[in-house]
Amino acid sequence: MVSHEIRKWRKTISVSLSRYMAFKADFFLMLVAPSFVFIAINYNIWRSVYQSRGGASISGFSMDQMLQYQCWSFIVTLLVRSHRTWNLSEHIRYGRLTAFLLYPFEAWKFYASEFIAFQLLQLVTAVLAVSVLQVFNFLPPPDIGAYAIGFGFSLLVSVLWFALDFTLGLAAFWLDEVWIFRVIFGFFAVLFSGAFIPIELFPAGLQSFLTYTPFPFITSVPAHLFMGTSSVSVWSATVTLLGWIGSLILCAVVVWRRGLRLYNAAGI
Amino acid sequence: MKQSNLPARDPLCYRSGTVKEAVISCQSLAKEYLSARKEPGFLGTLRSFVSPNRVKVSAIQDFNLEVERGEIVGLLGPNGAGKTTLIKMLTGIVPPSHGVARVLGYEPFRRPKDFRRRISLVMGQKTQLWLDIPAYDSFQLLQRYYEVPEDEFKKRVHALGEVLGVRHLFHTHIRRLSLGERMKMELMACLLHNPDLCFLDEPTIGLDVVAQKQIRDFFKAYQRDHKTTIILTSHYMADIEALCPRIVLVLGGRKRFDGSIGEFEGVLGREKFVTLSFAEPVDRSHPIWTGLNPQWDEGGTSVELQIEEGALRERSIAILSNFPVVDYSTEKLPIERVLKTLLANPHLLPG
Repeated sequence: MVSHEIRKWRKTISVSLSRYMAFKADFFLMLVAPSFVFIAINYNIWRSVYQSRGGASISGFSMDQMLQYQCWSFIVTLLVRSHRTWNLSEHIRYGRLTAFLLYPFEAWKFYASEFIAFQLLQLVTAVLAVSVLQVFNFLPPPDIGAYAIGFGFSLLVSVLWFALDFTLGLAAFWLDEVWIFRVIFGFFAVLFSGAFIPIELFPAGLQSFLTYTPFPFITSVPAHLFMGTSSVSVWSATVTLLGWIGSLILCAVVVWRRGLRLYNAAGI
Repeated sequence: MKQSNLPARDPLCYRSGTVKEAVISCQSLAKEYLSARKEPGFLGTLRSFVSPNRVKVSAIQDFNLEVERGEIVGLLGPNGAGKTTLIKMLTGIVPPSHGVARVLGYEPFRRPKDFRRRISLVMGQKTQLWLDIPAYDSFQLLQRYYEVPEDEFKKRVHALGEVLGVRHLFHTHIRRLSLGERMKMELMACLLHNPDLCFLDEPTIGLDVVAQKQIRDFFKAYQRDHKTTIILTSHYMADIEALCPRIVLVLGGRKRFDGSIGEFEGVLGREKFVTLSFAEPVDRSHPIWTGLNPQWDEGGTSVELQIEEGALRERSIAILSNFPVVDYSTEKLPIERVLKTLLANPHLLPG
């Protein structure tokens, strides 16, 4: 029974990989280009900011630390975030979900497998990116312990991201257009996770508020774990993260069950 | 929705052995949903934005149905009659609003894994295959999902591919296949796990006549060999005539006819459909045509008549003696015509 289940996951992941890689140009544009454009913009903006201030530190971040933070933010983004579950909303809206409701492999497992497949590709890209950044001295010499913790924690955060993204996608059971919610969520995720501006630069009140949300886990916490500058211990961060993951999975289950009652399998 | 208190699988509803098995059993099944109504124009949009007008629509009402193992049942009805909604409920895609449905002994909307393993649905207007990969990759994925042993899978996929004539296309991306080829792959995908119950929702839609016939012939042979229970909806009467000994007519969400195809053909009375051609135009106002529902061609040299079976000989002799007939043919009232007449005049249906 267990081996059947593993084989289903493995095959779905392998088919998803084949689909992503079916078109080379599309594959490159989807996987590599957006991340590299993002880091190029971030890196250059922050360098200009520091140069205009004569290299003075900002909220305890020296220019080198800030540029390193931006590099790690880019790596964490690759490891944690993807938008592969965006197609869930489309599937609900246009009735493609029907096929997944009929297979003896739960629909969420299919979307999770697709997500894992994409994250595997992003993991390879992230490892290559770290190597390139090391070679060109954008990052200090590797600290294996911090890297192991950073990679492990980031992969756990990707589960949180999947649960968040999946739950948002389920809004399509109620709404015809879900993309605006996703755009708003994406904006807040970038802003409040510290992907562009480190959370330490936010006003104290906002910083304190964000500790009660899952946003810092999306970039700030794993980036600091990679840098070895985290203010929270890895164990307490992991426990809190697991709490968030559990809550979001519970939320997704409830939303899924309610939403399914409204599904009308449009188009057939 | 009323939830039945029965367990997910009721062994009493599905008996093995030689006793007749109820593969599908519905009692008072109904499906209602809310539909938004909007008046035309900008004002209508504004009004609908402020206060949406939602009305309750009954897609299926008080529907009872029993289908036994190995039956092929044709679901007939115009667009919007409720056929597809019925299939959605029977496959567990949507929950019924009222009533009880048992399919293979299971309550469909609970969708237990064993239930899903034993059914399949072919949607003529939707693909379940992945467009960006070759069909064989999709088949392998389905093999894993349905836990089909490797040897059995290989045997089945090659046998089905051979019969449908698509083996040479297994490694071509689905998006590069023609509609007919894609539909054959869809059929393969739905039969790979050898389902006990197969729902075919317009499987020949959009196909050319040759491909339609191939698919009909394939299903005829497949059902003969495997005794699979099949529920077919199609707007092509040729599909229904070729495959379905039993017809269920759905109109306005209600079951209006359930019987053999022979009984369906006889709903309008036992009439023969007679076509006559004449050497020259004939008198259309002659009293001989009265009550025969004549359908003349433009030149008045050809006519189609509906004649009661019992009066066929007498009326034919009369026509042949009075007019210069050069060609004469007779057939049963085509099912397509029966359906058209019934859709236009539902009051003619019994009950």
